Amino acid sequence: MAKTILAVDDSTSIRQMVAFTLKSAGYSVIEAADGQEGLDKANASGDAISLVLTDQNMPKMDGLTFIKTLRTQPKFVATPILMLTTESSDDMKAQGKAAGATGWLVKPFDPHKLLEVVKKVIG
Amino acid sequence: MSIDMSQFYQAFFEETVEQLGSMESLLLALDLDSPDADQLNAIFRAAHSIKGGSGTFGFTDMTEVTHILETLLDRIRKNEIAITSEMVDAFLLAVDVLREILGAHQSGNTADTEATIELCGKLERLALGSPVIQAKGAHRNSQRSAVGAAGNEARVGDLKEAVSKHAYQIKFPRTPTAFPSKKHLDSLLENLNNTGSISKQEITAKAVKLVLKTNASEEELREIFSFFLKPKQLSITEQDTGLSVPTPHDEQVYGFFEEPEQIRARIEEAQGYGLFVEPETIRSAVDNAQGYGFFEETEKIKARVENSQGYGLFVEPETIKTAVENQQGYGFFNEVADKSQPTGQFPAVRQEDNPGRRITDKAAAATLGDSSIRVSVGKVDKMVNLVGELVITQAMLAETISKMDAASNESLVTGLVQLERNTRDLQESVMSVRMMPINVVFSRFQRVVRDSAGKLNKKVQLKVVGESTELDKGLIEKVSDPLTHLVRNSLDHGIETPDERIAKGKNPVGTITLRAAHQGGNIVIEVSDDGAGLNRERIIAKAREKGMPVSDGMSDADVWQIIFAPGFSTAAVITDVSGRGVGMDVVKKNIESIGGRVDIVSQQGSGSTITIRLPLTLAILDGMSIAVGEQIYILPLSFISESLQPGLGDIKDISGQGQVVHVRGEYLPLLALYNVFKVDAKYTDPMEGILVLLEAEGNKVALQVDELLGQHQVVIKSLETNYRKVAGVSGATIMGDGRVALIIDVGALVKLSKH
Repeated sequence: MAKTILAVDDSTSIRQMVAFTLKSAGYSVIEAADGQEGLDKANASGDAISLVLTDQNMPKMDGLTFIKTLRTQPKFVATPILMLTTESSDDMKAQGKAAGATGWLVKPFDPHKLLEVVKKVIG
Repeated sequence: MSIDMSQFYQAFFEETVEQLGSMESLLLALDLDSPDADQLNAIFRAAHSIKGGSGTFGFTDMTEVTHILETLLDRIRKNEIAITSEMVDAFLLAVDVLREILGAHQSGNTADTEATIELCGKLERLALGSPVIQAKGAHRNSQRSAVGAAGNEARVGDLKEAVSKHAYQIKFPRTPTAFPSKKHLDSLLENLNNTGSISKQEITAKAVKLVLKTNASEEELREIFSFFLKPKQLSITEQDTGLSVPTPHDEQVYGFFEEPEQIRARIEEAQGYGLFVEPETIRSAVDNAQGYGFFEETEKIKARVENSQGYGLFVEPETIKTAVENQQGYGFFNEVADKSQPTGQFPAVRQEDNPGRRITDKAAAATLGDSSIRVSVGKVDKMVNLVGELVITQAMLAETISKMDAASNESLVTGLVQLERNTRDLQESVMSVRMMPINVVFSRFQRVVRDSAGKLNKKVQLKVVGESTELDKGLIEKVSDPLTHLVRNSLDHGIETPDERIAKGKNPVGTITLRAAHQGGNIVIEVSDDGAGLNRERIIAKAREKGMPVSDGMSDADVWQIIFAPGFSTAAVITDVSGRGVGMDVVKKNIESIGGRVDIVSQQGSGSTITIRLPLTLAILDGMSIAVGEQIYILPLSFISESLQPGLGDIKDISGQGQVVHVRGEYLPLLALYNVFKVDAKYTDPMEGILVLLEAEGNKVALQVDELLGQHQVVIKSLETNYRKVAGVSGATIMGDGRVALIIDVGALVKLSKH
């Protein structure tokens, strides 16, 4: 069974690119355009999300709030969450870590880098 | 695996156009005195998204612009600097430049780098808090000569500044040995300026402090100084400009706060399985052998044992982590052990439910909710045409059946009634596909008003009412230029300067209102202003000057019509904003070419309202079919006010001016259609025929026809494309019996009656 990845980004083009890349590698992908939609879809999808990828700057609910909220839910306590971020300052990393992120990937990234990182986390 | 990134370009272009549009309208709506945090965030987010996308898809020129934009916006959003109208101007310029670059990429061309460089320079100066200098003007040159770089081409400076990677803060003593005269110092400063640009300087008798933005390295700069100073006298510190796009190669591009194995272990643990020997362990051993792994095996095992026992995560020594990071170029943080491990607390995956299947269904359902598709206009137009043909066929069948006995063909009649209803519904829904909110056009005017008002030193606010009113896409495109002209006219000739307005006791801020609404089968668009209104005397005087037939006793409506005459302009001064040769006559012609009408109401001193009435769609018309002899014509229903048979003595001859008909106290010119088109009529006597009262452009006329046949929705076929332009005819249609009927251009007919 293909592992399912939730990809949250308000940019349609980046979301398409991420989804296409992951699907080509055999994962199944759920897309969401902002943190709120991410939460809704995460909840609707049951408990089989293997990895969450989320952008930081999004309307309605930003990435950090999304991660924090997701982490309060029992079924997502252990799910790896990677932040996709344009900023890689220590401050951002500290914030991400405090929110409960598992790691980060700096934007812009290419499909290969994305797959490399995803594979490291969930194989 | 290689992925063709170009497949995502279209999505990127589309979303960027949207982002730029929302950025522009947000900027225009921004209140500079108390900017709304949400709006600032949204503007920032738009710049941020464009930056992210353009970086990902390799449009680096856009990344550069948006990076500086983002940096500046971020500081504004964090209240580090206050937003000024100068910044808003620069941001709006950035929107324009980005649009241009985007357009260039879309068409596969290269964008104008000059504009980009100039913009980047402007934004950087704003970001660095230095005053904005007129980019290439004399001002800049004079400033340069002040720092001893006279004659330097400003363009080069702009370029250097825009692309400079470093900003150094440089301090050195101004000793008499190093700089015996001012010339020596100037020469040093010139040398420095040649490597980039000096953005700040503070020269006292004893010391010099400056900020240099350059691509040169510290060593190169020290070399320049070596002619003047000893190395230790010189202090060079690099500042973070925050303005150059960070190159990802310089830093880690990803990392984990926890080791991947630990993450996996935790997932497995939460799932209730996965203890000691696992594929991951084997794989990571392989990884290690290949030079991939991150930490020692023993620790990993320890971690797993610990995890399986349900307590704590181990902490790897900082040193190892750092060593690994340094060596591999990326790193992981250890999980802070403040989160107790939630062993067995969570439901394990319920395999029997086949969760994968369930998810796919739900995901499909979720995507269904927000689905929309983009279809080319060509496809929709083809559909509209086909429906048009269907309407004609249906009308033809209805015509045939009307001659048959309804009782013996009952099922056929019922079927055709049903067909008529279905056709109408289909037609409506197909037409609705082409409908777009008029806001597409209206939203553009915020910018037009802002820019033009600035140029004219006027204060103007734009009010928009009914922006969600929908009309045909084709009409929207055609109405855009005339509306722009009208808005510019209002700005330029309508709204007075703040001083004049105060003198008249008006609010110094003028208001232009755009209003759209549906009215019957029409859409009505109004452009009104609370400005000076049309000047009756001046229009009459100007018309006399041009030799037009005018009199002082003309009605206001007639006077206002004069401004639609070709080449007519009362503007005393031709300004940058309007008065460039495109006059009201073009506005009128454009509107009439799409079956619309333009009316003016104006009150001297309190403003003007120009009303445009348009059919809802270009393809279908509500018409009245009339007969003259053997011929059938269509009159657009919107122009017909009533039909009547004249009574005895209602018709009067006026010598040399034809006939008039007396209708309820009014004398209307009488026009016989058979005369206009030179066809044989059944009745030549107006008393025998029927008079249709038509109203257009504020004038009324009585049209004499043989008989009224009925009301139809007709599909308009262009006569011009299929034959040629015919005066007095706006198009043609195919009737139910297959005959062609001409659609009468009522506006032209009414005009004819006046001569």
